Amino acid sequence: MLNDSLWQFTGIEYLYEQFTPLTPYGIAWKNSRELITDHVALKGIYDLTEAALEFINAAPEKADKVSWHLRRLPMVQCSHQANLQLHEIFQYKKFLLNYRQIIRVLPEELRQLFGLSFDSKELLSKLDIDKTEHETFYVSSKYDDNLRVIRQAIHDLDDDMKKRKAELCQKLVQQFQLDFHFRDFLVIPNESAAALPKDRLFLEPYDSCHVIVKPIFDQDYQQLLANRSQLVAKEKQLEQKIGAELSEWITNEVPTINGYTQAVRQLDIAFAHARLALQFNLTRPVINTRDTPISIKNGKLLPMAEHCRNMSLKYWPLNVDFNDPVAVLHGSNMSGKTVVLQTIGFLQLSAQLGMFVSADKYETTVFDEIYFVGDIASQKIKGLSSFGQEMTVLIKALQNKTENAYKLLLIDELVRTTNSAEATALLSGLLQELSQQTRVRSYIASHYYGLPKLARLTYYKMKGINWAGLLDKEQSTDRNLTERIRVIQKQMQYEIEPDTAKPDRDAIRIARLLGLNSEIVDYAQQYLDQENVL
Amino acid sequence: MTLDFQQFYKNTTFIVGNDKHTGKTTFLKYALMNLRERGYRPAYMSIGVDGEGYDFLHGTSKPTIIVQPGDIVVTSAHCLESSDAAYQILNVFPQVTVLGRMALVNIARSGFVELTGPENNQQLSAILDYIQNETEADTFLVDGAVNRLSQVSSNQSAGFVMVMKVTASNLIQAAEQIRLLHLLIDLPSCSNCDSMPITGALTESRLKAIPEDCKAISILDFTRVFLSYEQMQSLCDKYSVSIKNKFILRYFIVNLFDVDKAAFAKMLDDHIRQHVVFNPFMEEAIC
Repeated sequence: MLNDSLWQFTGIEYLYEQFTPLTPYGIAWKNSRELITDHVALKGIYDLTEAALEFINAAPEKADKVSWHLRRLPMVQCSHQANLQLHEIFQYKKFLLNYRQIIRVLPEELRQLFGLSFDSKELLSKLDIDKTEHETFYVSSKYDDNLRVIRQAIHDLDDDMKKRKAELCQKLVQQFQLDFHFRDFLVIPNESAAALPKDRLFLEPYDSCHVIVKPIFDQDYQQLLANRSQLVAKEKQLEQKIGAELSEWITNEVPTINGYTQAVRQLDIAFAHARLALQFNLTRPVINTRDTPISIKNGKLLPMAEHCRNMSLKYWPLNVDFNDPVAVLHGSNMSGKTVVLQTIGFLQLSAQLGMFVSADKYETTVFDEIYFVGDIASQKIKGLSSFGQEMTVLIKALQNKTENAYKLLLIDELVRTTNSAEATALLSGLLQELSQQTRVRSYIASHYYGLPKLARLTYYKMKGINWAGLLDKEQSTDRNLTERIRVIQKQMQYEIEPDTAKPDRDAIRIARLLGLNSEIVDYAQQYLDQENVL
Repeated sequence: MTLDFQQFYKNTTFIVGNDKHTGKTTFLKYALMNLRERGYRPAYMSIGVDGEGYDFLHGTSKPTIIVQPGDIVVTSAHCLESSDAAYQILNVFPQVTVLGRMALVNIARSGFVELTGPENNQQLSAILDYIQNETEADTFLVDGAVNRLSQVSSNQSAGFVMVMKVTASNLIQAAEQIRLLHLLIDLPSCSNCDSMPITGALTESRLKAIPEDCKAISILDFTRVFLSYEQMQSLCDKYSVSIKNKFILRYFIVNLFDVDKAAFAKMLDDHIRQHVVFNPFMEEAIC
């Protein structure tokens, strides 16, 4: 199960909640939220998704039928338990009927691909002895002729008792105006009850002024009731015997049925992945070996893309090739550094949860562990300062929990709360360590410059504001805050490029644009020019 | 006032009580007999284990129902095992309750069945949806509790019958309950976006926290109100009060114990009396 802070940071829930398997088997798989770390298993899932996609596109009506039957598949308890109860036998019948229908709809090549076959014809014919193919179950009289005889006898008794009851009710209406037609009992005043014959009507107190009256059935009727009870007991015994036989049939076939449930789980998951891919125009990720670069072409953080659409803002997809295992991302405030990290996490989680990804191309590798180190409410630790919390999470991420685990670290603004000199020093130490690790890939967003140049480490920066594109009127101090933010967002170029030059001084200019006192901003600019620091 | 069972047709009706042992299940039986007689096909269930271990009228163990062929019934697999009715299983719901899985059955032969039901609102809602969409039943009854009403508020056809046990000791209180409930049911639907929503229970102390300049308030549903009739009436006089989740009141079923019907009726206004049915099990005209 993935940790909540990573889940929250990447916004993956936006996509994952739309991934909707239809069977209890697929739903259980979804709810496990397991990160798939087996390269071959992941490719296998993608292959099945592609096959499902092809089928949905080629035969949408048949795909709908498959979904219909998938939705109706119940969870069957596949154990070697003897003596299944009737409702459990019903579940097996319902499962087999729908499973067989799915197989009938799917073409041969898909059946083979998903390992779907139906070898339970005999069992199903036992469960559906009346050959109705209805998703219902009862112990049919066809299982045993004695059952038919007993049920007929009960039926005859019921008819007899119904007739006698109707006659009795009719007499009671005629003689005492007591109508039990719609009522098991009546409540009548005490004075009315006084004259009623106690051998024909049962009376008991209701309140101080009324009594409850019920008809008393004669001895013959009581005898019929007793006979019925005996017959029902015999019927139950026979039903239990038949149930035990059917249970044995089912339990003998448990290994086969287990195979069915695994096959439908795969089918269900593949169809759900395919529907998701169609809904969000997702593409199959490319899973490479661990020493190859991560490459993203038009990668989208879907929740952010929707947010931009709602705000009528341009969304900038991510385009980048990360050749080195350590990447430091610089950029001014509001330039989108964090969004880059979120996008990487979103794409990687999508891929390793078995889904296709929101990118024109996403080439990556499989990580055994993925960590997020940064400021997220869900990872707050009571009693620790922000700095203490960051360090705790970082230590955990760097620990070798599993031997030879290949890790992905997404680190957002580490040590942002401490003084800049120590922060830079700590960050430098971390980079030194990470650049020497062969089994870790790290993406680090940071404000801090003055960091070391190291092998296997590349600096990137966000392109930032297109100052040349800003109109004079857009820089006017007359605008309100919302308008100013909008101007910044409009002119911000959320693109990533290698950072080879001196840092941009966007933060000071953005502060000015947001309306910070010009004396402060001017002094800051002069200070920076004098210091001339990286 | 006589019961018009047409109101139940094509609708879901919760049978709720002002207390335990008011006669809800007895009313359910009575309603079923009448509905079947009219050719309706009822589907029915109870709610979870409600602790009402015996029938208030007869002091017997948990009331059982005589199911009839064609009835659609939800109960636990455990209860079905001990039933002498014959039935066809239509579905088994995935949720597990303390009494086993809930099963939906079509009754093939009459017999006794003990009714148990889903334990939480989510389960109840899922089962109700299934019955309404996938069976041939046309009238849906839930032997339920007031706090289950919120769950089905999205279902526009959901209504309720309030079964009340009125004795000499709770006479005044019961009349006030009826007046209060009628007042709440009559409140307009919340359409004013500016009204102040009262989240949670509306209690006397909560009233004091309503800002002075507030003109309109909205309540989630009537089950959240814990005020006297007079307090609620004065609230309505002071503010524009609306209700978010409206429920349809079908009837007050009033079972009187040692209380004179005319005297109790006098305690209610004419427009309220139109919704009250007294002692449906009582035979008054006996020669």
